[in-house]
Amino acid sequence: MANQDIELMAHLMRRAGFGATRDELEGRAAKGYEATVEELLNPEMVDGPDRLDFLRYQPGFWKPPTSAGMGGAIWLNDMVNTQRVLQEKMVLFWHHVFATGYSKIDHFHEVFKQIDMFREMGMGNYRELLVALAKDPAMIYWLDNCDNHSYAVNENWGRELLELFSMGVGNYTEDDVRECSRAFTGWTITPMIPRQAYGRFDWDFEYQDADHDDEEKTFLGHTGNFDGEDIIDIVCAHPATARFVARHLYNFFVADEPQVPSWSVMPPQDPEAIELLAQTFVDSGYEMVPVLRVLFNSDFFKNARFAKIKSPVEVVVGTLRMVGDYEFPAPGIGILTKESAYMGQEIMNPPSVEGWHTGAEWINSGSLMKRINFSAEMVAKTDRPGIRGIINRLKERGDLSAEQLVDGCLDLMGPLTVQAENRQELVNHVNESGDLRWGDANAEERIAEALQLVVSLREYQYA
Amino acid sequence: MVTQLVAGRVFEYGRLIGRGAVSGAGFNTPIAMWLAGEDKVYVVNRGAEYIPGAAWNRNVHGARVGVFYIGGEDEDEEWLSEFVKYGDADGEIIWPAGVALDSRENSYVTDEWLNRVNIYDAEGKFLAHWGSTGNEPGQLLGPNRIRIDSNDTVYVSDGRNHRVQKFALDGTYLSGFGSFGNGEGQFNSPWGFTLADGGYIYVADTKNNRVQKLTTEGEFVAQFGSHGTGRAQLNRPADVAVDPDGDVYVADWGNNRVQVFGPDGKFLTSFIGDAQEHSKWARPVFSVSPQAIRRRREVKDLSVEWRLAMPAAVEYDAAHDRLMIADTQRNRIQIYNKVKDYSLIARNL
Repeated sequence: MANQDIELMAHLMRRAGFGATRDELEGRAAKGYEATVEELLNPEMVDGPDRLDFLRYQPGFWKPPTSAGMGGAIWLNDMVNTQRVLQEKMVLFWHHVFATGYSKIDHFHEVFKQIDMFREMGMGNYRELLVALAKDPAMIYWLDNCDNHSYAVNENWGRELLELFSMGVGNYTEDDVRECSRAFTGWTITPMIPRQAYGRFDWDFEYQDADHDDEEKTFLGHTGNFDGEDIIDIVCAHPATARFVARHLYNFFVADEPQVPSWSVMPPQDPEAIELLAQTFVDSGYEMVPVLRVLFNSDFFKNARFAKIKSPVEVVVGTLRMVGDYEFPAPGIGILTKESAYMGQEIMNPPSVEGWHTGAEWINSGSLMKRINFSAEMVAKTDRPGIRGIINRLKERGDLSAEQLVDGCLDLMGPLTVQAENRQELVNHVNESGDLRWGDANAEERIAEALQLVVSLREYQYA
Repeated sequence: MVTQLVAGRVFEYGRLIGRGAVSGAGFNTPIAMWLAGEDKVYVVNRGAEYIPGAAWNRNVHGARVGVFYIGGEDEDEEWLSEFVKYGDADGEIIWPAGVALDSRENSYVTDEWLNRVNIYDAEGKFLAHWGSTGNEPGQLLGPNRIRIDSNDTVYVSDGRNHRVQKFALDGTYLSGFGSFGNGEGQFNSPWGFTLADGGYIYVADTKNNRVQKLTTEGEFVAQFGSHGTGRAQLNRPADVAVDPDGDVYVADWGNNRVQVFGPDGKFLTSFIGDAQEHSKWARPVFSVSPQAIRRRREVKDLSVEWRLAMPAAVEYDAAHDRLMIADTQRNRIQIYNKVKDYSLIARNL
């Protein structure tokens, strides 16, 4: 099988999923690139995560307390184990865009219900997703729409809907924010049974007609007695929305863009790609699957290898999937959930409604150390199936020179292409112990050490 | 509906016991029970991972076995004692999963992570443990529910080995039955079970979404249930109890209910939870926060609070003709009575 096929498939699976083992890459490459894209776009063809299996062994994560911040364990388990990788990646995408956090909501399970909603609707129609988001209890509380009344308008949701969730700054006026917010008055949540002796209960969406402002509104040049869904229709039809969604997709799946607040003044690095995605979005009636199909099959995507710095979640989930044997929700999974937080991304707790700053901003001296230490600890587990798979493939190549060992590890961990001086550093280090002979007692230990060196490379931080 | 008349039986909601608590009078994800004499019940609390920054074997709170006096009347319940501490040292447990008492009132508590059975005396002092990890006869992988019969034979649901094994009290392997599959006598992740009169065992064959009735030697007798949410369908059944009349109670865990079947496996009715009155231990909790009192008055429909949430264990208490349901996610026990002297003469009220 041509190595370029494997490299391209590895690129696709890093971006549309969380990486893949060599066995999986070879299987997918044999099926073909476009066939794999179609498989990813049709998640119902394979099994999703088994939520009940998780709760069978870890019942304490059902509507868990928030104070300890470990409530993301179920979602982490989903990401590590699902076969529906693009579906789960889209959940993460929408969580980036519609950033909602338990730090204010104080109920993990309400944020988690939103995550589940993204799983159900995230590859569907964007307009329907926005309507569901506007009715999502966690979002309503997060952006104060429960305090948005006909007699006292609260503009938080209305503003962020326009600024961060659809069109972006520069495409509306303060009057539009006000009118938009008026249209969402009465969109609220039912009072929740307080958490006391029997644990936590749910919020539900409620439309209170008596609290809805049903007077005439003028929004983006349209005038009428608008409700929230009318606003969403107008927003979706605005050209800025298609470009905004397209740029988010490009930033998440293709290559790092500047941070979202600068989009109004900094043009995209590939305007043609944005236009193509935006036009597909409009032509399909805001359906996500056609846009993703165009994106993954485009040359601009295929040529964007290692043009993105992995998010902490991608580092953690990708490494766990590569190492393997995390199917069972073992004790300590809550602690595992904290790992991406130590690297700067606590799932279900973004720093603000703007979400996380991405790209180079993921990296600082502290987060880089956490990334390397976590990955190095994981790849040293030579009893794990993923690492055993790498060792077995290297064994098939017979005894190895230092160069062969380094090149073999770089190949099986990616394939990763690294700067010549970085490769030489690794070769020099490995060569201190000479050639690797499988009969030596420390042979597997030396493989683990070489893998640890690979994950410490700059190149491993890129997707 | 708190009273159900069905096929000559009368089931009536009885009472509620418990509240969420990490120790003492209350529960924390109660997942198994054992009815002892003198109206005592031993309750296995799984606990929850909670403490960030602590090592994996130190980060759970609430895991324990609680001993309670239940009594026969409302408000009789009292907390008596508790034992078992979270951890992997001798006498500690990572995933407590089941408890049973032998004829000397020693407690046998399973650990479905460390794959062993810990033994404690009547005061809760650790005595010994047995069990090793593996799939050979006598080894364990995910031992969960445990029962001890009147001859002191120990039965263990060896969940991830998909079988039931029998041991002597000292852990000496006696025999076992079951293998992975969905055929007669095979299992997929068996969980709770009960020993019934006549030498039968009823097993919650959890991931096959059915209940199997076998002899205690493992010979298949009957099965009922299929996957779904409708009447008589099951979604990951967690436990089974059988009353002296032969009626079968299934903790339909994934469907948040208990389903009742006749001795022939015919569906009779369901219990979905009717905890409309607060428990004795919960009432003080509800009275201390003016904000919470005010918020509760705003809630339009409190019925969700009455309902079962992933009930993982059922025990039939023949001494009082009542079914005890571990309402796992609500940290409480709901009790339904099987009323034997029910009468309502005026049927046309």
